[in-house]
Amino acid sequence: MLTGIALLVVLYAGALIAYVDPHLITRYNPDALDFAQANSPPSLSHLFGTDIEGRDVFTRVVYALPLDSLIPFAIVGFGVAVGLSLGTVAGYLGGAVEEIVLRVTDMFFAFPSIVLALAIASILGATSHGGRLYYSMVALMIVSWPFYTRLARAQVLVLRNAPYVKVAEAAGYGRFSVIRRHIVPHILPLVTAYASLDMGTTLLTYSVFAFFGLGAQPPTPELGRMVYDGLNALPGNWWWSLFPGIVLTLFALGFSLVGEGLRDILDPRLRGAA
Amino acid sequence: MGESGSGKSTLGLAVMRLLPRESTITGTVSFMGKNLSEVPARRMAQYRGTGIAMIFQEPLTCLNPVMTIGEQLMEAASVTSGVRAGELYSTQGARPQGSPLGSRIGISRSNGRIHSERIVKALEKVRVRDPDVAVNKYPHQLSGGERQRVMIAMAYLLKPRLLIADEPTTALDVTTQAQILRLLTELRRDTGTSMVFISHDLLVVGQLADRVAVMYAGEIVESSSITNTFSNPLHPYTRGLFNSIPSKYKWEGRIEPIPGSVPTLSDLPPGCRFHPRCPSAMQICSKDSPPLRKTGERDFVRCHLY
Amino acid sequence: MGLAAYISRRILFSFFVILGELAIVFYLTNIAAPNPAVIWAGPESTQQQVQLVTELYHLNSPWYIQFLYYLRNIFTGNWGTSPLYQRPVLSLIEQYLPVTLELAIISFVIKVLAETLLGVVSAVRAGGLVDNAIKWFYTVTRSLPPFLLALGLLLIFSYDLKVLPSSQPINPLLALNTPAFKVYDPFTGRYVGFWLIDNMPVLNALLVGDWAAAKSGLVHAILPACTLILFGFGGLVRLIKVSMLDALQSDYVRTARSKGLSERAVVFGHALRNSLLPATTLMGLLFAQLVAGSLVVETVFDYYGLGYYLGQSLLTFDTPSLIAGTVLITTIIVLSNLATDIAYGVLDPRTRV
Repeated sequence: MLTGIALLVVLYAGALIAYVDPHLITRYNPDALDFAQANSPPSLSHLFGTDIEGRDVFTRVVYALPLDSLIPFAIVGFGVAVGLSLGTVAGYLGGAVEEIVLRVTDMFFAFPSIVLALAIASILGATSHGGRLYYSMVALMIVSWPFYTRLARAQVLVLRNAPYVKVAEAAGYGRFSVIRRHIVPHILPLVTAYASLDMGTTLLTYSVFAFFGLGAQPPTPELGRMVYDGLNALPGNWWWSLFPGIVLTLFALGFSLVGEGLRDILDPRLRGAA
Repeated sequence: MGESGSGKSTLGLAVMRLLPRESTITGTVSFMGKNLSEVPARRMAQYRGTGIAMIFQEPLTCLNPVMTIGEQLMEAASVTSGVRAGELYSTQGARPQGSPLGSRIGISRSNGRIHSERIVKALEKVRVRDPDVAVNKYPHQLSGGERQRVMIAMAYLLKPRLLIADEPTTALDVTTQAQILRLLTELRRDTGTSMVFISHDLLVVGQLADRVAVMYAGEIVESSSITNTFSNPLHPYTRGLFNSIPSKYKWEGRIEPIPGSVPTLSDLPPGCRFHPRCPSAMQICSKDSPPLRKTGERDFVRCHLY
Repeated sequence: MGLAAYISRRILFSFFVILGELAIVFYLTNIAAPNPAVIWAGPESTQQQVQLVTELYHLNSPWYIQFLYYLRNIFTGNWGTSPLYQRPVLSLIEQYLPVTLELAIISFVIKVLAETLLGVVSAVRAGGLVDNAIKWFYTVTRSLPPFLLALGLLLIFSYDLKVLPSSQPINPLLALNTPAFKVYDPFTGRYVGFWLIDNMPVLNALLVGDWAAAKSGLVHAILPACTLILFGFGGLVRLIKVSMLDALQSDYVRTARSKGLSERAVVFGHALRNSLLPATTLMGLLFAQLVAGSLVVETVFDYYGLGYYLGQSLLTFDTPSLIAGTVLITTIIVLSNLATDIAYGVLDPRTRV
């Protein structure tokens, strides 16, 4: 877990610096074409080599960090927000509301999310190239929430009868206020653990979208897209896609290590199994 | 015999070498001339089953929930270790002839029929109703008493030299307890197995035992024949145990529970482990821990009084 | 609730899931490309042909009317025509689906066996060197972007070492044109029956007895199968390990040991047997992962199966194929989940009365 935290700290520090002032890390311009230097393998002046148009791969990776580090947050954040509210409300209120929410959730849960999201992104993306990144994100958001609805509801069913919830109800707090003050805070840690795990997989899923041409459109620097662009040059100029791929892997690794660590702490049944 | 937490079950499991892997076992366990605590772990299986078998307190969790009674008894029926064949073999090749080589639960077809007859017979012996039906049942479909009967049937099939029964009646209601105790007595008579019966219940021990060892905080504090223990208990703890139960022979006495509780093993008092609760504690008791002293031909007590 | 009622409820639910997915995808295609008649009729179509297609698919009606017609067509075997291949979608699926199924089944069997074994090993040696190595192995492979993993294997084994083929399900020269099973149905005048098996490269070759083709099929399947196996590798390892650790500390394992059973009989006969039960819940998910993963794997390895077909339709916006492929994969996945649920109900003696 410490490894995971360290990885994420480094990556997010990098992203922050790249957002504030990328020149602290790199002296190149991500879009500067330099055909004299095109296709040069990794060296001291070009750490990750250059691509076919002579752009420095390292620089482009750095410039891609802010965007790529936000993608999983946006998608999983949406999933958590929607899932958590639906799940807690359904679990707490019970009755017809719960029944309806559960049926819809079950239905979405049963969809193979990647395939459905790919289809959605592809269909929506057919109309506009520039918007593909956002359509892909929307598609992933659509399939991201059912898991959290289930998780939150299951937890609420346990918490609903907890003494302090009863006390709060007896004290005359409104239903939504009880949910907000007494239930959600107790679910959040576990949700965070699973969300962290989920961010890793979401980033990887997103990279599959990029692979099918549904990611960011050039010239925006974005890791998934860079890997995709580099694929055509394989096996010769491997550094185009390998280094962005490694950075993606490190992101995913960081999230999954942190997530597993958190889950092992919070989900006692799984403790010691990691 | 002893209070809960005194280490009775742990001792039983230590003899079987069934304690968690992290635990260390010191001392000797002498069984048929062999020191079991020195047998390598992977060879220990040879001594279990037909050598020493064990019956546990909670028969629901002790039977595999996804296997039928018949399957689990079949395993017992087809275990063949060297002990039953009359000798403790120390080399691989000395396995007795006629027993299935290779896998120890390997059930050859010809043996299968003989075994299933033995299983039904064993179930009849322990008076399980409709043994033919019961073999195809799963543990959760049986009552607590029936499950314990199945465990005893297992012992019938294994015919161990030594059976350790770890509070086999504690989880059962009183009438069932009596039936199970009778079955255990019959088992001992039929198979000639020696039995170590672990219990906190003095009355049960009195019915069943020839010799009694009283345990306190992980140590044997008194060991003597059943008559000596019951008529002339020496150790203050043993006496305390007898005082804390109502007895029909003891009209005038009042129930006097032993004050306090068994110390945890991580926080043992210095000297005699019983002295903080002992009514006859002396100065020396808080300093030196008493050795096991011989008081009769085969009687021992661990107390500074003697 | 009885088992029969439970099963029928699950089946009904699965049906609605598939229908729901079909509706969503269909609706989205409809708003994204409101009038696909021009595309469907082909690039060199006349005004009349476009008119004809529009009427044929009721493209002037609102989307839900079109959807109803589409549903009816699906049940009568008319799945539309792919503008990319200029062939009926159904015939394409007949060709591509079995290839994917075969690959998925091969990978599934190997994956389950391998993960179970590793799970047992890491439970028995919990905390040891082997356990940690296994854990790191799957933590890292899980974090690799799927296509990077596929490409890595491709580059190493096909381009560098040149030991394994890089593409196609089978050597085209050896591909079989004589299916083992093809039954002519005199009533419909079509070949029916075992069309699924006909298009499975390895199985068909084995049934015909063409060892060279079977071998080629298997060799071609190694890399895609390995990649599929490594996708999401470790989930089952982890589950088996957790439940094995539980089981190994349980009272019934203690009983089994006290019976004098060998360690192997205790681990495999008792602990693993109990741990497999919770593992069955994961089987549907595993198979689903494999089928979904075939999208990437088959595209990278040019393995002409359903995943490749769907991948191509994604890249080329071949809408009829896209809808059909998506729904078909959904169906497979929903069915495998259904099978899992039922299997669990049947297998666990405690749920039986």
